[in-house]
Amino acid sequence: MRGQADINAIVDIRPFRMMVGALSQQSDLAHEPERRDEIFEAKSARDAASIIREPPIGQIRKGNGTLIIGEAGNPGHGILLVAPTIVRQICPAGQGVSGPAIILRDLACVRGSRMLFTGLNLTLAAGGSAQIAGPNGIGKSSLLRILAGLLRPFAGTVQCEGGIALADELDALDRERTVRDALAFWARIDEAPAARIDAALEDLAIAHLADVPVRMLSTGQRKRAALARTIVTGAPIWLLDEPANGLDVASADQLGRLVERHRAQGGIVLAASHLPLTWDQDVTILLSPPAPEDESL
Amino acid sequence: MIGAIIMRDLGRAWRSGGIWLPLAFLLLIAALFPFAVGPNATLLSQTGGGLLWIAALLASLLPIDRLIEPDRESGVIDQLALREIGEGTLLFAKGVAHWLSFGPPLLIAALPAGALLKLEPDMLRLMMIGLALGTPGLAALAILVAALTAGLRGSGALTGLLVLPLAVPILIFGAGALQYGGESALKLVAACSLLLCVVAPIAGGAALRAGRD
Repeated sequence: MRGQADINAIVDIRPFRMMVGALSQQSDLAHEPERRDEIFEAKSARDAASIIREPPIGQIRKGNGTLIIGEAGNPGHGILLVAPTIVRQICPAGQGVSGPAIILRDLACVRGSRMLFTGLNLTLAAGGSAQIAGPNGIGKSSLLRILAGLLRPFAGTVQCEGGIALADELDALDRERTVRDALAFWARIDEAPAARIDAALEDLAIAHLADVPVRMLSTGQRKRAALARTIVTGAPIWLLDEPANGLDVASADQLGRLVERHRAQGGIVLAASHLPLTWDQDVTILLSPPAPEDESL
Repeated sequence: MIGAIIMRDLGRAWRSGGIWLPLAFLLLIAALFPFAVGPNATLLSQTGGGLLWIAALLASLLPIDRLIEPDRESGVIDQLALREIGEGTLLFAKGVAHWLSFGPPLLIAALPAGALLKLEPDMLRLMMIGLALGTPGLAALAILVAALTAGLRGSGALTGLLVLPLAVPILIFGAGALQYGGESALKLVAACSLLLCVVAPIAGGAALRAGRD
């Protein structure tokens, strides 16, 4: 039984102009010049998905070949798809990882004797962002909790360089205190400067709610307060669980701008959401339910 | 960091009236008891010490469902774990905050309560020393049980079952110090209390970690 992150999962690649190369074995595309240069222009995620279904790529997929999808002209930097179910994003060859990073290798998650996903590989370096997509109950939140160290992975390794901030459905803010005081507690724990609280409240357009008790906030406002807590942390790695839930359109756009700013400063954003998000993704991983024919694996 | 957690928990206890509750609780029991058994000074002074110990034990358990569960539910414990603050450290801080919110008020209330129950000055002195030594253990016990039952539905009955055997030694030695034994019994109270203070953060931390999976 095996959950899979399959090739159709690549629904968003930045930039969209991409190169698809086919290899018989797992190796760097750059080292096999005679088989390279299948360059496709994909204008959208849907284009990308359709290209990798068509021949000759589709046939190679069926024959358990290895595909590399990457930015044109930079084949080493992209997503390596190992036959047929494993998504791997590899770093530029010869370049070590420095600064904040998330490296997941062959990660598997079991919850209540049910295998949610296996063979998940992902590397995100500074400035990277990824979306975990998939239906409810597929293990998106569990994946984030594994990354945060709150759950043990069933198999595989997790390596996170840099501090982690998790914004899940629990806001962890004291109901009876004001928004500012509730955030001040976390600022004290994180040893963050108090000035960052007001800045974060401004960023999320809830500065006018600073002196309102948390219990009086609406769902969306509370979500924004929880996101403010994430910003106050000052951690380079943001794990956002359904960040768009409860946010209105303007707030979602605002969050998108904040994420882009965070990434420009070298941060990493990994978001789990079944809905499209308001910022560009380097890679989208679609977790899909375990296929019945994979029972034998 | 530990200071921030203690201050936060104390603030929560203060806002929910947690500081006045043990004080009022103890005085209420001490005021009602003479009505129940009659104003016989000998009887009161013989049973009053034990009664105050039982009241102290129950006062330490009053806020038990507010110690851990709300923080687990609102994600505070997850967020602290994420920051690599060990569960043991967290529970230690929570234990200190819990003791500060009920121990000193209890000691203050024990003075007028002792007068209401016609305790001898010597007995009252032993009572105060015993409470000062024993209440940290009772606070640790409350934290331990709160951590063990966090996330369980209908944990009330379980709480009683878990607390009873663990609280018995402190109760026996604490109340026993008033009748016989005196200072050697107080040493045993201190030993039990110390043991609970050490074991509770470790065992409770393991329970919180296990409850997360």
